[in-house]
Amino acid sequence: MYLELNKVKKTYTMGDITITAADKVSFNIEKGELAVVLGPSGAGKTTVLNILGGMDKCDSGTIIFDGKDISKYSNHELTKYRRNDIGFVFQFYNLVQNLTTLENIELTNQICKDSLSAKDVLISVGLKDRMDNFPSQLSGGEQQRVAIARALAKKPKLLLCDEPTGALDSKTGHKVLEVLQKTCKEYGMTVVIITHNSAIAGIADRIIKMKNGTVEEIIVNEKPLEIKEINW
Amino acid sequence: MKLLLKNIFKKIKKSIGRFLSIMFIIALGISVFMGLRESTAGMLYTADNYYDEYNLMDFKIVSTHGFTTNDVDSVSVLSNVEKVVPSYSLDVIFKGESIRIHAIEDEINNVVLMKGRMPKNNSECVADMYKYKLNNTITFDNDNLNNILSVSSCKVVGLIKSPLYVRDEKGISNVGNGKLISFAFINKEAFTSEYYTDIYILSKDSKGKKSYYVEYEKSIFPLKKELEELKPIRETIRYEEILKEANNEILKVKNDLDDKINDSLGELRKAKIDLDNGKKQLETKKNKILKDFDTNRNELNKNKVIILNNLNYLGISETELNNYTLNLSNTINNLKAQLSSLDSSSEEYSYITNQINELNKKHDDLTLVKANLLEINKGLLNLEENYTLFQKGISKEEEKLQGGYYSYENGMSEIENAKQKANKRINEAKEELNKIEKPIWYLLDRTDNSGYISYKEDILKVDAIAKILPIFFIMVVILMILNTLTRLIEEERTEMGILLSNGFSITSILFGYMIYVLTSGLIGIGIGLTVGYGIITRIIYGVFLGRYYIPNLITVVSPLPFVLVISVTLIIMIIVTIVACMKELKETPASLLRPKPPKVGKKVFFERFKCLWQKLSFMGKTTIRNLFRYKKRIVMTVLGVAGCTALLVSGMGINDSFNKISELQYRDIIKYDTMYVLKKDTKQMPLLLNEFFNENGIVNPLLINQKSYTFTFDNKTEDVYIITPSDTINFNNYVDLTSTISNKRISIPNDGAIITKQLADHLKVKIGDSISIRDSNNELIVLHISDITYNYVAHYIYISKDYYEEIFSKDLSYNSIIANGKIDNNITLSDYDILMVNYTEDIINTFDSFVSGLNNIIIMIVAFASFLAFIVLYNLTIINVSERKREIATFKVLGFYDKEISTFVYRETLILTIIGIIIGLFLGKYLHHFIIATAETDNIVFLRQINILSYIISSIITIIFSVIVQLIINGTLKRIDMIDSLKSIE
Repeated sequence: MYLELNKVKKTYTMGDITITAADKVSFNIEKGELAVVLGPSGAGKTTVLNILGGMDKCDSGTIIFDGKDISKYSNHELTKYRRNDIGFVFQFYNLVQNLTTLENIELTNQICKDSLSAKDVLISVGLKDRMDNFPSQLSGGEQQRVAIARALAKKPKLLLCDEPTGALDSKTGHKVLEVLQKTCKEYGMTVVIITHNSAIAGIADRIIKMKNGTVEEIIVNEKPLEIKEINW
Repeated sequence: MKLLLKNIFKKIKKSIGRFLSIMFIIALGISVFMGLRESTAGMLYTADNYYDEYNLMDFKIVSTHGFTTNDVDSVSVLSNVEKVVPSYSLDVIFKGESIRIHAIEDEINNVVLMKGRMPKNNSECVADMYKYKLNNTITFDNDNLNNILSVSSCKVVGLIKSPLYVRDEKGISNVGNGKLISFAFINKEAFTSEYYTDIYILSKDSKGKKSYYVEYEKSIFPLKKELEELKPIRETIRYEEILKEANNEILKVKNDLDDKINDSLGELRKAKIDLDNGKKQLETKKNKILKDFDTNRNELNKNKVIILNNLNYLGISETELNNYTLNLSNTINNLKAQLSSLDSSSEEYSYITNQINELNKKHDDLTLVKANLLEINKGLLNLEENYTLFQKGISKEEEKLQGGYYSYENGMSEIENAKQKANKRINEAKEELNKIEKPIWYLLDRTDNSGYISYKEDILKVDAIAKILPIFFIMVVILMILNTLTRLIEEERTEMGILLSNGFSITSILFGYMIYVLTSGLIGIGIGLTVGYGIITRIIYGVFLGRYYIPNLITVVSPLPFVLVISVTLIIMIIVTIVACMKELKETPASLLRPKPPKVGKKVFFERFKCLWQKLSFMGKTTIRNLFRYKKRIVMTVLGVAGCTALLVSGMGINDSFNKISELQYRDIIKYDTMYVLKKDTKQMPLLLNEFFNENGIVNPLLINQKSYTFTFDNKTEDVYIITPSDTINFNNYVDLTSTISNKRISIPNDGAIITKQLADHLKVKIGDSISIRDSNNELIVLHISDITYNYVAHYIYISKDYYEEIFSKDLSYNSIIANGKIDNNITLSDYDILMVNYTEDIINTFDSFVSGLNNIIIMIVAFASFLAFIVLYNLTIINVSERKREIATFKVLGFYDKEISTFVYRETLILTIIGIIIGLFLGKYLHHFIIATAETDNIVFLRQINILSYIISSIITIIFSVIVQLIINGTLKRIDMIDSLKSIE
């Protein structure tokens, strides 16, 4: 298995109350798969994403990625892991406002030794003409595509997307999903999309349904849908 | 409303860091501003209070001839006098040091008893607490104290301070080596002097007035004028009194002498009369007795002649008488024998018997005659004997008389001698009388007390620093308040939206924030005032306590600056709060609830240089763009850092400026150790002094003439000394004259004057020009400038003897001697006609101790400036970080290492800091220049240069703080939670 979660547990303490955000979460994802973690708000999917992405540590359980147990990583190792192995796409894009589209991608080139050409990636996400624009001059979809391009340029082993279409209308959302699917197929990249939108689930190779912090169901989709086939 | 208040206090609790930072900035600003600016007022007040409490005199008069009760009365009747106290003081020598002994007074110049008790009798005293210990005995080693003091030593029973001596340097003395070392007070009755030595005067209305301020000067002015008018009158009256007294004395002596002479003369004359009478009596007696002798002798001789005549008649001479009678008796006997043989009846017998009878009768007659004759002869002999005896007696009497006459003559000539001698003495006394000098009254006020006046001068120097720096300081603080408050409110945007959308009115929201801001502001002001008035003023005062013997500081709160500073601070805070809140609140609640769109990135000018731009890393690019994105913050940071650096530079620069002066003036320019001021002008070195110098091993002393003149510039009058050495070549050993033009050592020329640089600057003259100065009679003296020399303290004009005589058209005589080498402390200077000795070392010490005191203040200012720099940097960085939390979180998620992130964040601050430092260095230079120009009195030059090292240290301090801030910020950066910031936009 490329990615293997085993009985991952995460609790948050807020004052006197302890909230169990994830409990006994176990699932596997194969290399090159596009997986969707699906669940309503508060199901613990973001917690899982945070732990997968090395932004947070689990309390117990193991996460084996590409043969390494990242649950044992130190903060520094986690940073390195994020830096070299993980690409992120956020709901709110999180672009550096003060850098142009191109520069936002070059930003990752700077920290990654073996990265793709910023221009090429931008062209591949269809933003050739927007290279010298600042994020504030782009639409939401365009910004998200820049964010994806930024993630892709690193050639990550794992691309994590947190509600990538959450802030977008469906038309733009389609475009973004297209890019993601294309990436998965063309580059053979493992992609994990987190969403509450079950419509998106259709395009995944593997669907992990979560509820109340636990995995409810894992569906292996033998025949993923084309992007244009879905609707929301 | 209650809810709002609760919310605000919760907010304070939550954002305690920011709350404290506002509070501390304000506290810092207020404390430094009020503390520094108000310290001098408190110091002056403390001193004034001290003077008032212990009745420091307003005027003191001393006279060359002491004061009579008439003098005292003449002062007492002046209309502006509050109190006049005649008193005594005397300089004595104890262990070779001069000590002034004062009489204890109840109503003026009271002593401050610190330990022990007041004297109970004349042989006890109270003395300087900084010099003596209880039960010490001070002995007065001077000669001739008998008619001034009734005791020759006193036991210290109390330790005191005196408002007369507030400084370690106590001034000059007229005994010993000329330096007054200490003082003691003794009962007034111990003084036996006929005249008072001092008159102390309190002026009407002066007590309520603040010493050192114009109001005090004004209050004593009327009395000063009165005293100045009284002075010449009393001097003349006293002079006449002295003359009259002396004349009377002479007259009395003369009369006494005359009386004595007359007495002697009378006695002599009487004795002569006695002698004359005696002589006369003697004559009379002698004559009478002689006459008696003659009568007796004649009678005897007459009787003898009769007898002899009868005998002659008988034919018998006197000599034959004896034989004749003998023969007769023989004849008788023969006849008797014949008779016996004859019958009795015979005729013969009868005849014979008749014959015998006849013969017997004859014999008897003759025998009678013979007896008479014998008697007469015996009488005559007796008479002659008595005569001789009488003659002898007379001679004796006459001799005696002669002796009397002789001693009379002697007496007369003695009296003549005495008369001549007396006349000579009287003439001499009369000559002395002409030599009596007219008494001079010296009218002294408080400013003639070296402690009193130097306290103010020192304060003025501190004042210059303490008044300007804080303004700069508070400006930085205000900038910081503006910045921090604005940011604080901007961050409250969402909450304002929530409150607004929930129906709270704008005023109540505003009120809530106002409470937040004002709470921190008021606490800050409170802390600031406490620290400022309580601590900073005391630190500054502490500098003075080392050299001034003054009581503990009384803090003065001047109402105007107090109210002004507090209200300005609060008004600024209120305005900033309102403006910042209104800016947000004018938007609709809905838009407030949406995040404020981040500031749009913009291409900057620099990007036009494509090739350069592309070589930059993205870090460089963001940094440069960011620098231009938040213009306000940049300005704030640069100004804040520049301000702090400027404070540091000027603080250290002041140190540089002061520190060097004493070295430059008293080591490099003035090279003599001592200056002896002579009592009398002299044309050449007096022999006595020559001997004195030889004995003390002092080589090559140089006579100079030093006299004070005045010059006027910009409506100000300053003193200038003309120095004329007796030997211009030797003078070069003692004073280094270096031309400001050629930078070479120069000698005093014969045809012009060398003047000091500041004098030239004040008068705006150059070589070849002329300057005019005035002497004490206001007469104009014009000098030709032949060169200008470096000098830092006071003004001097150096001229040669020839030029002096040409300018003043009179012979030059000298009044001082400059020399190197120490003299024995036990020497009584007045024995050598030396008025006083000025030691260069003392001047250096005074100067240096002040400078080192000043250093403490500067260290304090530097410390505060550093602290301010720290707060400024911290605040700005914190704001920077909080504004870019999301960006930083993104970097974190993207896998940037902590180090990369903090470098990224901090690079901007560092660049701004460096720009700030560079600007600050320049600003500091000018600030320093300005402070020095203000602190500089008209006769001291402070160096304008700041050591390179000071610039470097200032920069390093700022950078160090920058680094410390970075270390602190690193922690903050690490704590930024990536997940929270990424989830959604707040």
